[in-house]
Amino acid sequence: MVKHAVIALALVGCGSFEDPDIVIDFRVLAMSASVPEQVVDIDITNPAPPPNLLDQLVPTDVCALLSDRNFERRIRWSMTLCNLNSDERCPDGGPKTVIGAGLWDDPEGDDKDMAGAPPTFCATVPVDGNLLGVILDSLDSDQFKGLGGVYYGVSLVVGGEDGDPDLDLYAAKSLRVQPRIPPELQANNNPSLAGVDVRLAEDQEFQPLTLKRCEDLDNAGIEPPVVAPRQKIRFMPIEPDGVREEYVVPTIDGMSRMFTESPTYQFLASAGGFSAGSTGGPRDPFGNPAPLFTDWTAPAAKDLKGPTDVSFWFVQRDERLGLAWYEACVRVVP
Amino acid sequence: MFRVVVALVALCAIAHAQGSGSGSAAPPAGKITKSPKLIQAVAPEYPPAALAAGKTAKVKVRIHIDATGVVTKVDVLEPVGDGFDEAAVAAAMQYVFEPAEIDGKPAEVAVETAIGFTIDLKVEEEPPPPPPKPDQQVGPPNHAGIMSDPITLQGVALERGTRKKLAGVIVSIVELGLDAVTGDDGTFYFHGVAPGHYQVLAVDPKYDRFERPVVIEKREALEVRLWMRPRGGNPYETIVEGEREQLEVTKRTLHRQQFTSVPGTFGDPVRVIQTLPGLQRPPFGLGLLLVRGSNPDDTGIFLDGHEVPSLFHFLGGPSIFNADMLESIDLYPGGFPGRFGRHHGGVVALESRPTKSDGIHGAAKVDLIDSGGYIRAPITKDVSAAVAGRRSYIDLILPLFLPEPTAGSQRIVTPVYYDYQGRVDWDLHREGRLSLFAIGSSDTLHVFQKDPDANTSANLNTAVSFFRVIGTYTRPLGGDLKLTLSPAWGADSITFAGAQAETSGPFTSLSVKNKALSYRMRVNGKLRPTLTLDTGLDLMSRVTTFEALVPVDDTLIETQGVDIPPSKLFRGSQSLGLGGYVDLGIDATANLKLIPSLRLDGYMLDGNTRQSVDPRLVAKYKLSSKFVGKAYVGRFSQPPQPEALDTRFGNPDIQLEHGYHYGLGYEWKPERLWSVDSEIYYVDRRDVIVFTPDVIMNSDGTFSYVNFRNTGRRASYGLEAIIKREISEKAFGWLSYTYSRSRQTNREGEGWFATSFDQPHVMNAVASYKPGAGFELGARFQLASGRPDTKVIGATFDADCGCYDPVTTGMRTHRVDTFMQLDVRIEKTWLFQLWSIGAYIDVINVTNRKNQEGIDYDYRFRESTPVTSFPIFPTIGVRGTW
Repeated sequence: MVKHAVIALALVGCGSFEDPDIVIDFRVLAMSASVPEQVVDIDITNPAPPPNLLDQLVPTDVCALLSDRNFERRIRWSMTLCNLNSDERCPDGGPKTVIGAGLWDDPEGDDKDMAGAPPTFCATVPVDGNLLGVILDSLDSDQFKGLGGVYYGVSLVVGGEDGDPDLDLYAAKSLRVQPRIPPELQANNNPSLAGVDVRLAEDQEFQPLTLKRCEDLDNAGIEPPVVAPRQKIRFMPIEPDGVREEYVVPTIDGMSRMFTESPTYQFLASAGGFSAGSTGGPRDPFGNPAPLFTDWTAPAAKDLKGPTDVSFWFVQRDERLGLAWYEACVRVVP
Repeated sequence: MFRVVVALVALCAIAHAQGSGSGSAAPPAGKITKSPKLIQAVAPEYPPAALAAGKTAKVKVRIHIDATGVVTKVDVLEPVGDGFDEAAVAAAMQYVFEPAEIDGKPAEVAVETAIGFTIDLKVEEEPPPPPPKPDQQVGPPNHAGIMSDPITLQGVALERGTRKKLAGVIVSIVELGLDAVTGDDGTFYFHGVAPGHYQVLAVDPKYDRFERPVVIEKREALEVRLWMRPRGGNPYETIVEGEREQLEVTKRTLHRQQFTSVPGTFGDPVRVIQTLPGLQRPPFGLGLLLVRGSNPDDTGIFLDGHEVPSLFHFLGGPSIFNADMLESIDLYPGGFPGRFGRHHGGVVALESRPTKSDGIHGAAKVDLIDSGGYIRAPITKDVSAAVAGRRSYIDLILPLFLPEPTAGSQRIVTPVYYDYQGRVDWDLHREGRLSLFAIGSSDTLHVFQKDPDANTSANLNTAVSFFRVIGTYTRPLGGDLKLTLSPAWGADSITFAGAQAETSGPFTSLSVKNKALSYRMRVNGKLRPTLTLDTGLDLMSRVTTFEALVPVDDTLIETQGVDIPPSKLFRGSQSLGLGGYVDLGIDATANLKLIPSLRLDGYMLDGNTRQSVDPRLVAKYKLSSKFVGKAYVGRFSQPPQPEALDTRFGNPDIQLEHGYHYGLGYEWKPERLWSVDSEIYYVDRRDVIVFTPDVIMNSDGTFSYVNFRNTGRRASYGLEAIIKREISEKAFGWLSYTYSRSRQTNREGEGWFATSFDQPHVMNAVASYKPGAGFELGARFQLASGRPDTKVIGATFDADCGCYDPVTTGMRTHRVDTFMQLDVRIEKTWLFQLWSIGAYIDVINVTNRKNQEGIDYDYRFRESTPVTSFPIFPTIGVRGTW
């Protein structure tokens, strides 16, 4: 449970906004890259020509997690490779290249032909001269001359198929190429979960939650867990062994440091409310170890029109650009 | 035997003339809205020959009174002779009036009246001693009658409510025409007054006229106390600014009466400064002094000449000073004299109050936020002392008003504070005066842990403490010169610790300790009638230690999300500064005064030397007796904060910051109670220290963070004006206006943008009025431009943090809504002979206007709502003095 110390005098005038953990409209919920970072071997005493760098790189698949709850429509999209500016968008100047564009299926589509597989929204960053140009441009502006990694990114723009472009959403995912300094440095892998357990009542045991979309469970004829309005349930991410990778980073004094990953968990749902929308991560400023679970309270009966399937998204992140997501479903029956 | 009755007749006659309003000889243009009121009368001397002859008379006179209440001329309308006319004119010329008003403005008038001379013949059963004759009064002014006769009536004049002994009060025995003027100890003596019934009259312009009957028995010395009621019924002291030699161009002074009675300032004397021109309005009413667009750190705060780090309790709370312990507060918004150094913003100078006391006096205050008390008393004939203290209980009150924290969402933190002051004064007479002043404060944070679901805990072991002791020795040097020697020592500390309660000990902690030693030597006074000198030395030594247990690793390139184990950090800083200054006041001509200044400072900052030479020049030209023009230019230097010099987290190569002040203005005093002060200014601050993310590559291929550079620049210009009504028995107030623009750039070649505190328009109107019956009504109205803000026009979802990054139109290109607030205050004081008690209600934002301080956005920057300042907030309190 993450707490925030709030100075009393600063409380005056705080407004009431939408709950960011509750997805009620068109949103980009996450973007992942496979692979999130790449490591290249460089002989700093005899550096190879930059084009040779491409030999050590592999293409990167960048995927998005979308929700468009209010519409049944396809999604117009484009992804651009560039060096992101402070707004996390591609600047007008500088090298950039569109790596994909077109129309994606409705994120909430329930096409039975997919046999329970959710739709994917991906594009690939190819290893080519465009990528090299972006990396060299980033390196050129890096005060550390590449030590600690050269960052670049993919900017995603999405909108409804016939939607107003002014209402397009922007999202960005950073990627990184690192020189193998120190020699024991290894590229990051995306994190993963062994599963997500759910406890439906305080006097019950945790049980594994089926990690499928509501639409996919429906197609597969699987009943999601059933809860009553205002019922509080607890979600607990189950980490597999080794998910908290140890990693080494170079330091500016020519040395290196070793750390252990501390994944964070973001919880999103289409209704109800979480006690904490984000868990995990480093210890809080007061030294409290970061708990992983969160409690979710089902919506009230007055907000429901009969039995309602609530969609859940669990987004797992590490501090090295790694990311994974999982989806689930809970049915609320008044 | 005979008794002569003259004064009472005269007074009645005057009163009649005023009351009728028809006595004006030459009707003035306009309407008399206020008749003149006699506030000081002198009994006429009965012509000896006429008295011996048993003659009586009534002399009709016309008294001409000027706009200040002084009698300028007395005409005898119908001469009666026998010396009566001359005696009547002589007496009437000494009358003092409260001025008449025509169309609401003080004006010259003339009144006609009659001064009567009558002889009251009474046959006594036993012949009393002969009455003393006025012309036989010899002795000190507080003695009347024939000095060789025994004292038969004596007493003391005291201020009602405070028991302050009043000097200079005219005490008269009406029937005898005898007058005495009370001495410094408030006493008066009448010699040889015969037994009988008398009326004693006491008159002083600052007090209500006092009259009481007395009966002197045979062979008895009667002792009386005359309790004088301050005009307006409020015992709080009114201080009239004396004519001091001023070696500064712009100084705005607050006096004790203004310390606690300005609405909306929580009775906080230092917060009243924020209503003066040249200061920007701080957000949320915080205790910040934002002078001419500068950062709070750029303004020096001096207590009895020594710099102190802050005036306010933690989190911008109330100031740490008890109003009763302060003598005056001076604000120098720019162009300040060389006596003050090491800052390029403004200066706030506080003077503690001497403790000289004619008895045990004190005050106590209780309100919803805190309680405090003050007491001063003589210890010996030459030694006196005062102590004061205050403690808050906002931690007990706030939970009654604040919303309950929701489960697992937030924790409420409130400050708890106390402060104390003490001062001892020792009058060494011709050898000077010695004083010792100590002040301290403490702040801690109180955490409300109300969340029943809390499965973690957090202690905020946060404490801020401040202590200073200041010794001051002052003595005359001969001529008009005065020597002041003043050492001071102080210790401050800030500690912060977040702990996993009672399990693994502090995880995050920070402790900053500061030890300061300073010494000032000052020689000031007039060298010649046309030359004033103020010179001195100013030594400052400060040792700062930082001790921290924090999860920080300054060798990492990327720290976001990294679980860095805490490490112990010990850092330290030593600063030594020696400054010398000369301020000269040169009366170049009868109308032109030049004030050249030079301040030299040398520093040893962690082994690095820095120097500054700051010349300044002020010119004042008296265009008329009521109008003075002024101009100034000067250079001001400021050393870096200790942490900015740190070899690891700072930059030991950074240099001093400099400010160049330019100003042009005037002071106009059209009337005794009214003044106008206005000036335009430009402040150019160069070499400003700014944080930078820059790194430098070392020769061995490693990197170092630069942290700070002197590449910043800030420029402010504007116009300030204040129309002020000085303190009088009934009212005081001011209307201040500031037009100001403040912009900054962090590096040459980069764009300029508004500073955090840029506010083009700031207006404050403050008024206080005493309608009588012990009431005091006050109001403050603030109108200020909204503070700069960065406008958000969109957002991008950052997939690596799951958050949104705002897309803006640029740094501080937008401004929040105009701020407008009305505060009111009503105080009622009840006067008793030995003490007084006052009850007040101070209502902040009486119209409950929702004033915008900032903008709060939703998580994806689509929706926004204003962050508002205080809603209507009443404070009630009681304070007593004795």
